[in-house]
Amino acid sequence: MLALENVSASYGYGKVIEGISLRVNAGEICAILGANGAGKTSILRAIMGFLPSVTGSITGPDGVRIDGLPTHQIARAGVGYVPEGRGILYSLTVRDNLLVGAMREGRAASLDARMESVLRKFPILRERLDQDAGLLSGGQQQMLAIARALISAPRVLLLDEPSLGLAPLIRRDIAETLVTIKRDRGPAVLLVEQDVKVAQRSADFALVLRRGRLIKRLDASGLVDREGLRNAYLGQSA
Amino acid sequence: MEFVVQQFISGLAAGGTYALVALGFVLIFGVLNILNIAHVQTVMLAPISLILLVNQGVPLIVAGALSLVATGVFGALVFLLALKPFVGPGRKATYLAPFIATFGISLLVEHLVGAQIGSEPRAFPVPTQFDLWQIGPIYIVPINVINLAIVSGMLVVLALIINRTNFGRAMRAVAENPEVAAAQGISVDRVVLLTVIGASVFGGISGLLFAADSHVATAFMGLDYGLKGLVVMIVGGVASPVGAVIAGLLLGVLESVAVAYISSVYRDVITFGMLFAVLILRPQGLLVIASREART
Repeated sequence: MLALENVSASYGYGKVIEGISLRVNAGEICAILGANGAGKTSILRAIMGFLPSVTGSITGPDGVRIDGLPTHQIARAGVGYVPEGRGILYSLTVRDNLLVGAMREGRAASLDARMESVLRKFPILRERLDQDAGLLSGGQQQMLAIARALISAPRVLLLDEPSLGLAPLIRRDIAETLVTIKRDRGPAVLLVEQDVKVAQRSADFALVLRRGRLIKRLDASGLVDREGLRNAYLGQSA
Repeated sequence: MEFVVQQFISGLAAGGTYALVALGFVLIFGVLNILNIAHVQTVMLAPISLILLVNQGVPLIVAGALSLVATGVFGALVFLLALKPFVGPGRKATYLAPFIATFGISLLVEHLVGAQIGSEPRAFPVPTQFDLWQIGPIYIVPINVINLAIVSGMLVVLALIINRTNFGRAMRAVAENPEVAAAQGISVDRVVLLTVIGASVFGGISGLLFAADSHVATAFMGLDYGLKGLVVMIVGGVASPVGAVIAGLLLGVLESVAVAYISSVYRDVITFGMLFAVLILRPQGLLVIASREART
């Protein structure tokens, strides 16, 4: 479970998000929609402890407050993060990227099983295990970023624009992957996404963000209502 | 011919020791992207600590181990006082702040030690074998072989740590992208601290080898040898461990040849001549690993 209560944050020069409250339960996918500069990425960065000034409360897995913790402790509390631009470690091999992801979970005993589990989900990575991650295609890098986040079985997963810069077919694959994660009763997923189709295919509900504030909640049916979405983006039905 | 081979072996030994100093710089630069000038003083602290401890009656082996512990502690202090306040996620400072801070620590330590023990060279109490080993027509100085063996062993250990262990993976992750590394549960501060301590021990070992080779240590040897390590790091490619080893060996051999065939006066001319030549012909260094900015 992930819960934000009245969260505001700034980079030190004015608030980038203000009064954000939301709750995502295990097995749910919540999409954050909004135009460029609305503050979508800042919500995820506030949760991960990257912003210098955050107020309000952020509750992570097991009801543990994670606001104020250093980033590595937030990760170890069970929060997986796929940053915008994928955050692949290009000079490391695919295997080493996955092993770095596995460091969030301290138990070495189950490492082989966890590695096997993510390689079953992303079979293309099995063929590239000893290749430098920087040599993968954009879609494969995104698969690796998600696999790296999943290898430690996070109970909260933050995804920042996983479809960015990818071909339509690959975007569909990403959406299917998210559906699979949900079907497996996986983590609570907070998905920042510009591509509404990816959100439509995978999310249980969506929150629309405008100028740092949440202005509308859309349920699954609201996500397929094109007119309602357009209005929400433009702030006309707030 | 035999003389050339002897000089070559002697140069390799000195070059390997330069490479050890440079590797300390490379490791710290790799994970922090900043230059830790205080690292040069690890080359002085280990042999001076060993001399002081032996003078107090501490057995040589114990004194050697304690001197390396002292350099590790020095590295930890440098991290806490001059690096941690400026680097890591959420802490933004230009590279100048830690550069000046570590430079200040370097001068402080050098003058404190100089004030305590004076500027005269101190005899280094490591009994080295003066009898030459003869292999056919070639005579070899035993300390050169010992230096080469220690340096080679340390390079193998370092390569294994970096490439085969979780800590090595964490180091490489922090070096490439500290924010992503932290998001994988890696404590960037801990990785940097342990790296600085390890690099300092490398510097300490090279200081012991330099002192064992020359039979003396001084309060001011850190800057002399440390600057050569810095030159080797730059010539090698700044963040390239393999480049540092190649550049170190090259410098050692060139110096050895210059001393044998020209004059020892030209030793430093060779060092800085090599630096300028490489900077003009290949400013990126012999082997290049992209800086953090270039990679991201």
